[in-house]
Amino acid sequence: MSDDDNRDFLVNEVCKVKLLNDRYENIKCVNWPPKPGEDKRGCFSLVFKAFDSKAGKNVAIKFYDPFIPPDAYRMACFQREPDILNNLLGKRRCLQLIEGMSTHTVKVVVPGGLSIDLSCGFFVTDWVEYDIDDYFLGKEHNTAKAKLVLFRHIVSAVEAIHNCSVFHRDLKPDNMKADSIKPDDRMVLVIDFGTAARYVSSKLLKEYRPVGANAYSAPETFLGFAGEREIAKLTDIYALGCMLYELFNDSYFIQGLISNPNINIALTSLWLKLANYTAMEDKIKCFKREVVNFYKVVEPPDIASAASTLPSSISHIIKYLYEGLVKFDYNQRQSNYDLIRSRIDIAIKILDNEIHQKKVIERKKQYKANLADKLQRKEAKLNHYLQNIKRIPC
Amino acid sequence: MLNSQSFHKLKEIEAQQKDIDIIFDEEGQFQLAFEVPSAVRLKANHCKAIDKISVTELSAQDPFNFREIYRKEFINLSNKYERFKNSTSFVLKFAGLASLTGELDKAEHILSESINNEFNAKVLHKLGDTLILKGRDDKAIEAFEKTNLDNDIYSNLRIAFIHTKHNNITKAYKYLEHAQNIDPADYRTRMFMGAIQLNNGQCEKAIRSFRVASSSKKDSSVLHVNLAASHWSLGHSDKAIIELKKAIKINPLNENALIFYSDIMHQNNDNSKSILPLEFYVSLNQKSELIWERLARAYYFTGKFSKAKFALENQLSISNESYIYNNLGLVHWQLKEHRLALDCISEAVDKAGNDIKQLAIPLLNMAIFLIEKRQYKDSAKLLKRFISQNTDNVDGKILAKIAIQYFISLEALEETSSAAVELRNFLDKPNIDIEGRAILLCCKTYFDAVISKDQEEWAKSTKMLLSLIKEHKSDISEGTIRFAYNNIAFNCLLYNTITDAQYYINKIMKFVNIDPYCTATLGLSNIKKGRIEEGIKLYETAISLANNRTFKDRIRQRMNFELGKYFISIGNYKDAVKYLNKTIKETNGYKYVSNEANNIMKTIQ
Repeated sequence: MSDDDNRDFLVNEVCKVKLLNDRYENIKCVNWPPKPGEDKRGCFSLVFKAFDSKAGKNVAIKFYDPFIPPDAYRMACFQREPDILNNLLGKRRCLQLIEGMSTHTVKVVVPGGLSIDLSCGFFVTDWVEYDIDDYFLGKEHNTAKAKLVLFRHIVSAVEAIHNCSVFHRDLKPDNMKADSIKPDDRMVLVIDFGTAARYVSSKLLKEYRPVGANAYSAPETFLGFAGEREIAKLTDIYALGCMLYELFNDSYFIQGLISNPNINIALTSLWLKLANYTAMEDKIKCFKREVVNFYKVVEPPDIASAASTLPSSISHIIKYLYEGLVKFDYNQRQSNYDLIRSRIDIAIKILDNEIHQKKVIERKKQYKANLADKLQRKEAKLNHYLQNIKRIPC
Repeated sequence: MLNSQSFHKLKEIEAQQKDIDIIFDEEGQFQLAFEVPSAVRLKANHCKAIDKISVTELSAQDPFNFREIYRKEFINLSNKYERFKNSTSFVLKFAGLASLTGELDKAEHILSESINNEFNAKVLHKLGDTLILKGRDDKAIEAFEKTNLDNDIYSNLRIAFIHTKHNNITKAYKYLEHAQNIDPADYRTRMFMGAIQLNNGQCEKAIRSFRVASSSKKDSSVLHVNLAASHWSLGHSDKAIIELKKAIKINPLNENALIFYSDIMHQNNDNSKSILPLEFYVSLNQKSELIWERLARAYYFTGKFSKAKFALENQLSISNESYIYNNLGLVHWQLKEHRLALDCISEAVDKAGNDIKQLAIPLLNMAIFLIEKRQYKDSAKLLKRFISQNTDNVDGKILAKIAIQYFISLEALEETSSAAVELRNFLDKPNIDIEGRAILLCCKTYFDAVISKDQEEWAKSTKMLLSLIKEHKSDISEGTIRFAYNNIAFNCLLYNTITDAQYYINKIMKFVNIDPYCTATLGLSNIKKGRIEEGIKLYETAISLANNRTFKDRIRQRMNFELGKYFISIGNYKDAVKYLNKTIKETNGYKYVSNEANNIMKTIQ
């Protein structure tokens, strides 16, 4: 049997369960089988949607996919994920863990008729229904203000997990979900903590390359710093900058970034310099010392270019914010959430004001037009009076 | 003898001329750059139009596997195709990633489908871009023309780009003007226009265009390089340097700017200034052959030979061209590693093979090396073989230098009649440039006056030399002009035309006590005028200024010879014999001077 057949079998077996752990019913797999022409979403797990009869709400059940090629790091991450989520319990804007690591046993008949028990680990979290893809991929349907409001939610969600000393390290639009479709009473939550870590988490690998989505990975993660807890927060901040760029542009941040050949030169050069050191402390010191040489040559792609949909009235504010978030040197990145939020708020106010001003101008125009119309009518009336009643030629 | 009169280093260190890329789109979307000739050729062109346009593809290495990132994102985006296929944002992102992953057909398909459903200028732009990538320029123009060209700058620029690519500058210019009418301050339009204007030799207009572009984007390294190229073409060297410094400050990794800057600094004999930025560059990127080469040259001309050796060894690790071996040979030579120097220059000659153009410089150096080692026969043989070939492609300046070395060898072998014939042949060669011609005429005047003693012929060649200097003063280096005047003054003194000699000595007076030749000539003038003490003093200064033993001995020999002649003229035969004997006994001296002294001795005895 192929891995896909095995996966089909496992998914069927789980879906067949009437009441998992005496509380989860109506179990449906959301990422297997993929729709025709599509690939499996989520590389290392099988995610099921179910109804929690005890709490009376939908939940997400996450199984480790036993049919992916053996990967000790991913397995360890999966084991660690409920522990990390445990630290977010009761915290606002954080995904809530419903039930920690449990096992479900599936009977598998192997060739020869022998049956064996396959133990599959799983844990359960809140089900968050709505993705935010529409803001990134259907941008024309959303105003600049709506995008900024969403971004403010994203920032708050990331801040919430950071406040619990949890660093996601795989932030991207796909790992953000909203609990409501209505913008006014919506809360955005960060999901999929598969690559997340805490300050106190022990390192699972000796050497790290980017652990999450490379398109949103900060430069330092390519240089082996992805496992550094002190830097992890700033790596998440970088991903926020990438998302901000993509909200207002029709291309990926990484596309714009890599079009600057200096990025590759700077990364390669730093990589070579860092290779002279073995201790991480020395590497970090070396990075700090050397990265200043590249400040000018590794500019991020312009968020307010001609192709951008960023309104000109807020381009300066948002550009400043964006450039602070995606600084090549993580030491220089803007990581003060209050400042980030205040910048977004100012931009939103400017847009509001712009809308208000537009309305005022529109009203004034209308008033002037009405006045002109009124005057015209009055003049016509006077002409009529003079010509037809008084018989005075005008 | 000719090499005693040499005025500057004859050895040649070569650097490949690198054309300056005039780029008008920093994001690399247009992937087109005009290649303006290198700093050297550009200066020579003096803002003439050039006929060559080349398309340079941006090459990208991918050490961090960014292509894989694109591929993964493309797969991820493909999963959302059905849901978002009607969204312009999605279509543009999808097409962008498809293009990057080489799926151009998929990109074209989704863009065409989107256009069929709803007109959108951005989608049309992307479709046009994709069609350009697919090499279907006609279809791309059709796509861009579907937009409203009265208010769409991008489409106008893209059409202009395609026409430029096909060398149709007139049509391209029409669309550029269209784009300029829409927004006269648009950065890309102005950069594009400036590049075309510079390419057409309209340097002032190009500067104006780049200046307007700079009003909307000051921190562009590329812009400053373009401005520098325009200024340099107009001969505004200082302004070009200022712009290049700005370009390098903004982007120290701008190889184009660095090469241009170091070439200008080399031409200005200010190599030390280009060392720091070049060193910074190689500390980040050790794979640029052209930068190593310039760094080696800068080190060489600032006397840092060990560092030059290191730079050239690095360059050799990237490429093993003939000229690199030649340069390394020269560095070994300077470091007094003669064996290694000869090995490297021989390797350069071998690598050049039958390529006359490449062969010229290593061969010249080999000849100088052999002459230094007094192996005149070998050097004459080597150069004769080279000269017998078709040398039309060889740089005139180099050819002139080869000619000089050839005469030195022939003269040392006392083959003076062959030397005279070859000299005349060389002067007839059309590819000898003004500088080379001036050097050869200097040699001829010396030859006519000192060797052939043909005063009529000397007067003719001197007249030719003087008119050449008068007509082309700006094209002849200061060193050559000094050499020419010194030679003429020396020859005038030999013919006892003291007033004429004084006239030319006045022209080189500022080099007395600096240059050994000029100092010795003034010494000779004093002896001829009977101011013996002053003359001897100047000759001794000249001897102290000379940089090697042989040279010192030869100046001393000439001094003794002239003193001997002077004492004969005043009837003091005792002193005359003393000095003439010293002249004859000078072991490192010229043979022809010893012979002359011998003849005089015979007549007075």
